Amino acid sequence: MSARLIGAVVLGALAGTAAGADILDAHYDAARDQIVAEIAYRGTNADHEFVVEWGRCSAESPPRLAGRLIDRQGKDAAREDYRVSEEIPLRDMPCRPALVTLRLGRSAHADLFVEEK
Amino acid sequence: MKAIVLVSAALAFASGAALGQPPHSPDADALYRQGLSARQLLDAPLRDARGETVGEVQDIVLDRGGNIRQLVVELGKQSLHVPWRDVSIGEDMEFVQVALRELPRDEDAVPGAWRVNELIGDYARLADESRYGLVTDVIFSERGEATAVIVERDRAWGGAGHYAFPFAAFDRAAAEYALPYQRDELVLLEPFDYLRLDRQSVYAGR
Repeated sequence: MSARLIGAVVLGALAGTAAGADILDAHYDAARDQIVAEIAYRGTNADHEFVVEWGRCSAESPPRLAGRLIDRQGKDAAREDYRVSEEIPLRDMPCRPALVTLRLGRSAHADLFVEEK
Repeated sequence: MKAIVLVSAALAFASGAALGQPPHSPDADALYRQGLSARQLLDAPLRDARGETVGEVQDIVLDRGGNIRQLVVELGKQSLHVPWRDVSIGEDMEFVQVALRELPRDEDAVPGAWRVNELIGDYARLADESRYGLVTDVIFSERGEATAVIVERDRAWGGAGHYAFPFAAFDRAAAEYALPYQRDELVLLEPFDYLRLDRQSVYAGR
């Protein structure tokens, strides 16, 4: 589940992956206990919803964990470039604290540390 | 200390050779001869049965065993799944062609399916250390079976570049793609040679 933080902005150019989506920035927002990810993608509209699919925690300390961002409109045609900020809630995160790698599409990733709750 | 020549290791795996086989296997050229690169397939133009370009390849759907089942292609406003059995590879891997007169409209579910774009871009780890490098490519045999993953590592690991490892399985829930080697095992590595792949692949000049 994610909530849109700011409106989508049509970009002049998308410096992203060949797959058409990129994570421009991601950080842990301790005050609201969520991840905020700035995402660029190509589509026909500014309403793409990105949800996170958590992986499995590794045995290390702190554990490593992959979160795969899924574009709910992944079949949308790549027409225009958009940039959105997504709030990613952490209630389903399987372990904390953790070193999280967010993945999106082909080769887009961002690393961040999520603190203990 | 066991030293592994990665390209050879990949071939030994791909050809089903015994694990105890010396790493400098004489059939090591097979990876390049039969190799089909995912990176070359992705974004390749898709031509229809008449040879007209109608779209491009967005992704590759594989089954649990690492066999290509479908190509995800973008045609105008649509994203469709084309069965791999109906696809042929064009000259120098520069396009793919589908023999179907009408492309399928529905996606057939593939049990345990995953997409190559989920693996490409993942971090690769060793048995004893994390963040060995990034998975940048997957090499397939002529039959569409994943035989090797290409990992780009940086200089800190003893030499920067792209290296081929045998493909085992993809666990999309794992934090990193697991390579079953210790750091000490990977001392004599031959970088993967894309120019050689371009020259020697069965798809070159086809």
